[in-house]
Amino acid sequence: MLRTLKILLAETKISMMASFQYRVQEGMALLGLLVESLVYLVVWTTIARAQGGSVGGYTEGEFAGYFIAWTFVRHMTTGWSPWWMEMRIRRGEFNTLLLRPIHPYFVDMGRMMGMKSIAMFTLVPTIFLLSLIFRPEFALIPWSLLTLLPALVLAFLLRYTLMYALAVTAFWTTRVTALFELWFAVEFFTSGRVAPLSVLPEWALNIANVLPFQWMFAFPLELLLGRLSPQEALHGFLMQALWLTGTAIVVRLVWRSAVKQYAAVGG
Amino acid sequence: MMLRYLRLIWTFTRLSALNELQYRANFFMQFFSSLLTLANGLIGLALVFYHTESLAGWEPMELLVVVGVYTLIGGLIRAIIQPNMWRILDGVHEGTLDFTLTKPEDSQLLVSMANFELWKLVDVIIGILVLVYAVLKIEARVGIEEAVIFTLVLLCGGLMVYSLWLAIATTSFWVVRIWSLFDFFENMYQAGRWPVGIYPSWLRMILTFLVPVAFAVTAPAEALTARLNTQMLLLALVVAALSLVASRMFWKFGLRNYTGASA
Repeated sequence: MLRTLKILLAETKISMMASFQYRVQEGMALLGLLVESLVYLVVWTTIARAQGGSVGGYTEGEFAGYFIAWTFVRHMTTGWSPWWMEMRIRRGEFNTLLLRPIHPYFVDMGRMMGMKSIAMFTLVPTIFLLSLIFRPEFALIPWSLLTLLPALVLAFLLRYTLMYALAVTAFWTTRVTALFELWFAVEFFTSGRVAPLSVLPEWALNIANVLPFQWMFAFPLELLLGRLSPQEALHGFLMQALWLTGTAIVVRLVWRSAVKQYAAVGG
Repeated sequence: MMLRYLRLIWTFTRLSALNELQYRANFFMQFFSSLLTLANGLIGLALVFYHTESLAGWEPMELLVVVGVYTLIGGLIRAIIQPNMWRILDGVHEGTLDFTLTKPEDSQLLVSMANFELWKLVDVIIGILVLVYAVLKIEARVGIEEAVIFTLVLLCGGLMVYSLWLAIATTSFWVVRIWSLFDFFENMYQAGRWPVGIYPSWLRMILTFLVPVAFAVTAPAEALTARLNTQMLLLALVVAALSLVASRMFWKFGLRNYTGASA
């Protein structure tokens, strides 16, 4: 356990240095996030204005707050690309990773932690700038801010683990991309990414409630904005824990047979 | 002269198409992914119009025209412009561009036409289908005149996008790691899903002159929905011509300074 932690931190350090090297690349990736959230922000504030000030319980300023905080939460909960896994397997780079005395799950996790921490240097000033332009409205509630960190960590772990479960199927077929595209399409609407969940029609909300995606995104985001009651927050944490336990078990089970199945490509 | 160029383009296109036809499974992958992207766009529209009747003066079917143009132009970019420009980058990086430059034809033509990804044209077909459906639904008066103007503006937009990509690719003669600028373009292009009129003015300026989304997506959609004024049409023609000339001069200038990687 301690050894795993040590390697995890070492990987974090390495990737921090690497992302510092490729600052421009990182900046461009961040810009992608910004453009996406900016588009939603503009669309939804336009609608709110046309509808006399608010839609789905969000005013213009609250939409601005939602989509500015969006960039932060999105950055914290993503950063891992399934194409990366597919490429590593196709090129045979996965072989060396498997030979190391630590589960690749932790190696990748360390790398992402490094990238995320470096990006904070650009993300925080950008959020500040956006706030000056769009004048967001939100409530900072002490207890929700205190519980934000665990909510973010759980959201990240849940998304990451579930993706790992899916990526492992790459051991059987080297084309997982289609599977992931389907995932992203569903996640798009049921996670709170394209719009706050309260804006969805009821039938879509019902679908969102049986899927895990809102616990990976909308939940920490609404917690940050102070929009949840203590009961709702508790329910959120419970759902996160439940989904995480479930997916962790699946990954463990699938991983064993997957590695047996794994046919190394290249040398 | 012109005829020889056309024959050359045809040969390259045929060769690339034949190459792509070997991988037929990729067609289904592309089809699946294009349909998902379209579904995403449509659900997004449905969500918006669940709450409002019109977005900044655009009715549902009119925004569907925007989605159609966005998909159509996006497909053209990914089928024709993107693969060639990536190839220039790889060529500079690996030194294979030198082989292209020694051929006795116009170098810009060669680098711009050598590669073409057939299956990406699925988006073009889907875009056209969406456009036809939306235009029929609006019952807009789209006669020969509107169709010609639409095609003209679309062509101008496409040429501007091409010029921008060529200029970025040319920069790789000096700065090899230029990938992130392509990423920048792709990210900004997403903003074209909606008419640029909804964005704040500073963003609209960026989307008009820095990344020509306004010309490439919004203007053609405006042409089909009776929104395009003569001023914008003329501006599109002028900017397209200027950027084409400027990127050609820049390419020539870059070549003169290019020393090759393998030498």
